[in-house]
Amino acid sequence: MAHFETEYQRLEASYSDSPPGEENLMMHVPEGSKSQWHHIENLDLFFQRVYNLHQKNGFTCMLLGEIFELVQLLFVVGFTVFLANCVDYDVLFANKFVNHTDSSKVTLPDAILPMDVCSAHIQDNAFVIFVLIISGVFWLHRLVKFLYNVCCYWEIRSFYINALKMTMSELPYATWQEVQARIIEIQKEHQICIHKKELTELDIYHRILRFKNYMVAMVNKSLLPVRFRLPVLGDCVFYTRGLKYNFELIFFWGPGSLFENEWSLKPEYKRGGNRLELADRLASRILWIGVANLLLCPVILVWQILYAFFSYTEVIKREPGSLGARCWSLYGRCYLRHFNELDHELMSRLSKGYKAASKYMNCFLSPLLTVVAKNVAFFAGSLLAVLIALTIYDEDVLAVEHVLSSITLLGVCITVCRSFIPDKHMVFCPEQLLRVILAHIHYMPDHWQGNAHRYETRDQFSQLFQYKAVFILEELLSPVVTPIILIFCLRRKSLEIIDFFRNFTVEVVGVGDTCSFAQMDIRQHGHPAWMSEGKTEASIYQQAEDGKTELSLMHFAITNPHWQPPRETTHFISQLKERVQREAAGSAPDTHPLSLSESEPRSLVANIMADPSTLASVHFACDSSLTNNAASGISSGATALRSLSPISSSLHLRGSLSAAHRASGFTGRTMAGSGTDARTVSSGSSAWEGQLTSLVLSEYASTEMSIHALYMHELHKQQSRGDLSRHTWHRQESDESSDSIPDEVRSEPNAHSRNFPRSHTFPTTLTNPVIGSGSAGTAMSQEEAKAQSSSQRRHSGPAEDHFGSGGKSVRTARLPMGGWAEDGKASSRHHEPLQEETSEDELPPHIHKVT
Amino acid sequence: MVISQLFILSSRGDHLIYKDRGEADRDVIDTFYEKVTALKGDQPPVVMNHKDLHFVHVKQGGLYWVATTTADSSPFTIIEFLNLAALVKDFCGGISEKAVQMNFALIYELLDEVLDHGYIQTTSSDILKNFIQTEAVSSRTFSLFDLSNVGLFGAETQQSKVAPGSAATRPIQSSREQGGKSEIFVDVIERMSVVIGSNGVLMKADVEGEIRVKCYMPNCSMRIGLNEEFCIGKAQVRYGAAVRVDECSFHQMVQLEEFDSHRILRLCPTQGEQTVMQYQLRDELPAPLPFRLFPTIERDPAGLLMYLKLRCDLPPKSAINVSIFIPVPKGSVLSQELSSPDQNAELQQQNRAVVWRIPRFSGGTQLSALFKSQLDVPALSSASMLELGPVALTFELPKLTATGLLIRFLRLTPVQPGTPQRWVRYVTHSDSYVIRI
Repeated sequence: MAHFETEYQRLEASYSDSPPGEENLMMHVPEGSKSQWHHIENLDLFFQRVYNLHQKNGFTCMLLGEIFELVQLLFVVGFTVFLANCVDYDVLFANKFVNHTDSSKVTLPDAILPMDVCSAHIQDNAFVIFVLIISGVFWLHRLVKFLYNVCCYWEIRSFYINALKMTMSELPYATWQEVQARIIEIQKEHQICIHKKELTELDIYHRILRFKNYMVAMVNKSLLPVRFRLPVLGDCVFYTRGLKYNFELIFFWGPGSLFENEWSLKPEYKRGGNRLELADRLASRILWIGVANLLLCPVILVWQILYAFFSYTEVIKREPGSLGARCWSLYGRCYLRHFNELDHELMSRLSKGYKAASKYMNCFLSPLLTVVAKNVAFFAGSLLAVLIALTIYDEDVLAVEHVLSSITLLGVCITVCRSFIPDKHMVFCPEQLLRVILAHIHYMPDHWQGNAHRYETRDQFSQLFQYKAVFILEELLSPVVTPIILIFCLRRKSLEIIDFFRNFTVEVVGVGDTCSFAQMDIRQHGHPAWMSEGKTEASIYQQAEDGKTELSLMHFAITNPHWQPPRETTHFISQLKERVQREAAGSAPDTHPLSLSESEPRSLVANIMADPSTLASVHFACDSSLTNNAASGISSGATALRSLSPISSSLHLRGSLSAAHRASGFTGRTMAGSGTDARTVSSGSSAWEGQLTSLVLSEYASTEMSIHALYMHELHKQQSRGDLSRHTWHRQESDESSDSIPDEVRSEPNAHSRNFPRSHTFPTTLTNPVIGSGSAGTAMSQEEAKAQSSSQRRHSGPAEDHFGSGGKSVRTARLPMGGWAEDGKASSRHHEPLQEETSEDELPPHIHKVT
Repeated sequence: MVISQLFILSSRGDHLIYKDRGEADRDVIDTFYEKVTALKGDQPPVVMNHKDLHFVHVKQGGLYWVATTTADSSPFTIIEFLNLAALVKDFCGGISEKAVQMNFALIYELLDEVLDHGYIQTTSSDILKNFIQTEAVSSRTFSLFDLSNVGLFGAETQQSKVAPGSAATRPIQSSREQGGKSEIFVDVIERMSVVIGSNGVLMKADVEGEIRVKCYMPNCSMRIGLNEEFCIGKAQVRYGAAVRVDECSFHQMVQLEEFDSHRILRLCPTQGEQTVMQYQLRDELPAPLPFRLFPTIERDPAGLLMYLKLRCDLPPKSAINVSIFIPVPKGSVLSQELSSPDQNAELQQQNRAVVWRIPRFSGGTQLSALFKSQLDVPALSSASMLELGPVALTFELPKLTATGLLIRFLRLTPVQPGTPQRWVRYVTHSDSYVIRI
């Protein structure tokens, strides 16, 4: 036999099962004779690791991070034991004198006990030995895991290098969408997944986020016991990392969990027959895990305390204000997360909303507290001033016992007090802030709108956006509370959980068992109040709350423009986009009598634009004449961020622009001289440029999503006005599967948000909002058309300026980006004087024109 | 009917194995080697004589397998006997100079059983393996650091789906000791002979194929199913998708009761390798041509400039080990520009040809190369000196058969307790693939 390099392929088992001449029983391994990446069995883990490695910026970073984590662990334990046993505090506090012959100074080594005394101390103390053993076991476990991880990620690394052809050094500069596109590309070649010829974006997301989708859905359907009504504290949310870990342990991967392996639910849970028995089994399992938690409670508690101490003390010492800072709570992350949203997408979304959210929370300073704080600050300040003055006069004051500590304490006290005193020159508009927040977080209960100024809304929002201090406190409490929740609350829900997993698990070819909500099928899980009226066939039990299905769908479609959804879904998306486009084109309600039925909102976008918040709107036009126009994408991206803080009408323009981007990107062709096509730049070889453009693109995508989220909320509000809707926020634990009982409907038919009283406190004024909005819309659409046709790129100053002066433009710094610097006509750089409103209805949706 | 001597020579003329009846002298080995190498051309005649001694030789695995005999023997019997090489291969796992050197004891033992005082006893591996005691020495080394096979996600499944081509080159004998891994390898190997005219017209296209079974299981009976649309001869074409061959022949042990109705071959192979079926297809190529060449050649008195574009039309498959031989005028100096670094090209002075090697060529792509050759002695150059010979290609197309023949299944008829592993590979390689330019 001659020597061929060709490999042998396995002839699949066939001799016993099939009659002669049936189907093609061979295993064809097309292509990839040298690759080891076809037919990966555990694709879930594989994709998760691919994603993690990308998120952790490559192998070296990850390795280093993990090594330091291990070292940190050793250090925490070692240092604590050392502090507890080997330090002579009497010497340190000068209660005991050291017999030095030469000098009276106490040195640090004096305070440290000698080695033998120290070890004797440790050996005498059973508790310390216990802690040491526990942490030793824990550390070894971590070490083994680390070594295992290194092996795994080494393989992922070689996957990146060999299959995806990306080096580790360029990984931090590649977006996940790029990596994903390459994975989809190589599936054709390497056949990573056996069951399907081609992978889609959704498949990859499903695999990475399988369990997270379940968690999101369970939170969405209020299945998890994380909300409690406590006697004193009232309505509160308790959801910590420990609790989350336990939930995951119980449902997904622990011994005896509902899942057989990463990708399939155990078959008995798919059948409804013995659900009661299964529920019993689950309940007893929860009980055992709860008991185990209870037993391990001291260990975990000690660990939590130590960990919190070492990670936060330094921060608190450095900036005491950080405890007063806020962060998105774990519950908030679950509540606000879309289906099929990766961590980094969520994080960037929430981080964008952070500023607005903290501003919003700052609106609600209690006047009582302010008065108290002012006075406390006054007294503390006086004391501090005196002490400081004395110190300046004579340094020996510092040597007096506790003077230094009092100075420190007073300083902390003043800082804390000051955070309760509002800035005199600050003005807030809660409703508008909430709208900005909504533009980023995409979800909120219905009754918040129009009630933004209320304390209840603020309280509820603070459940999503809690104090860091509260977060730490909850984490510390978690080991004690978790077993209680598990044993008393979760156990009761076992039947519902079993039902949930049975009803909402679908088997998808090439993915395995996945949460059916994550399919984002409007027909299955749409909510009639969220634009899927008539399309959805879901019962109330099946409907996702808060428009989660619809918003997730939009989000996914926008973040993954190459994704080809099923037909109905495409229809939904295009319909929605078209509506937003049309609205963005500034159509007055009368000009489109056909398109807008009675029930539909009247020019919602105009509505949004008419908000006082639109005042600082920024226009974007394209101006090819600019010599260094290449970077205008970046600058506009940057301004997008800025312009978002007061949500602006520019959003709409940008939305369509970005749609144009993506549309043109989608065709993969550069339009002749198209300045809008950022892909032209990314085709320029440099990774740096590609990075920039992809950033710009993702910026566009997020802005577009913001528009859609706002639009859908607005629509939903208008739709549900009149008929009483239920809202998740105050749903009782029992009614999530029953029909809608509007408990606590707080939202009295409120004024339209556009009629929100334009307070004098709002810094800018709008003389004629109606005209402003309408004409702004016109102007934008004009510009947009112009942008598409003459491929200009520019963003101009605020709408009003521009409206008034007819040509004043504010440009941010532009960087040359290379790739395309067409020599356009300089004359077209300034805006033409705005067209009259008459022309507006002739404008077709521009997207279609572009493609 | 006596074989006087039997010896194996390496291609450089080293004596590897020598056995005689004790009457001849060893000088004839050198005589033979001189005779073989003295001949010009590729293939020396199989039978040559020196004085009254006849040399019969075959060349297999880069080695000369030579038997000498006196005048009264049947040359065909001896040629057939020299199929001994296959026997050696079955027992040693492979035939190469190294394998033969390492297993010389085994080969001598084998020869002792096969030949008794110059008379042929048996060449059946089933009988022989009862007498052979020596273990074959495998030249493959185990490398601890061969990390490409260590894997946690991909590799484990990959290993169970794919075996390297070298998996079939292990000795049949050691299967007992090495855990008795019972495996069956099926090779479908096709050779292509293609001539393409200078205008791109296909002038000749033949495919010869064979199915070989290498069996590492004692006493098994198996059924091999081919494509059901397999038909022989021109008349029988029923569908467009049918696999057609002009003629085919089978090994004598193949039973063909089910062949007419279901295209199933039934056979009881002995251990080792057998060619079960051979077939050929003349003047027709069911698949598109795998390679097309678009040459641009500029001749001027100082030298010539060749710009070659080679296109591989096999998507989604790909070709490996592609070499292109371009005969060039004598005395050329080469400068080259290739489209990617993993290719290489060199000028082989003794063949007067440029060899352009492409280790891997994926389908649907096009590679190009620019060769500039300058003549050493420009004064002598004339138009005729600048003529180029036809370009020849050698290649290997994995996982592809030109006729489309596939193995549908392979079934062992008495169902074995431990499922034997069954492997198949499809290779099309070039017998001669000539493109005239």
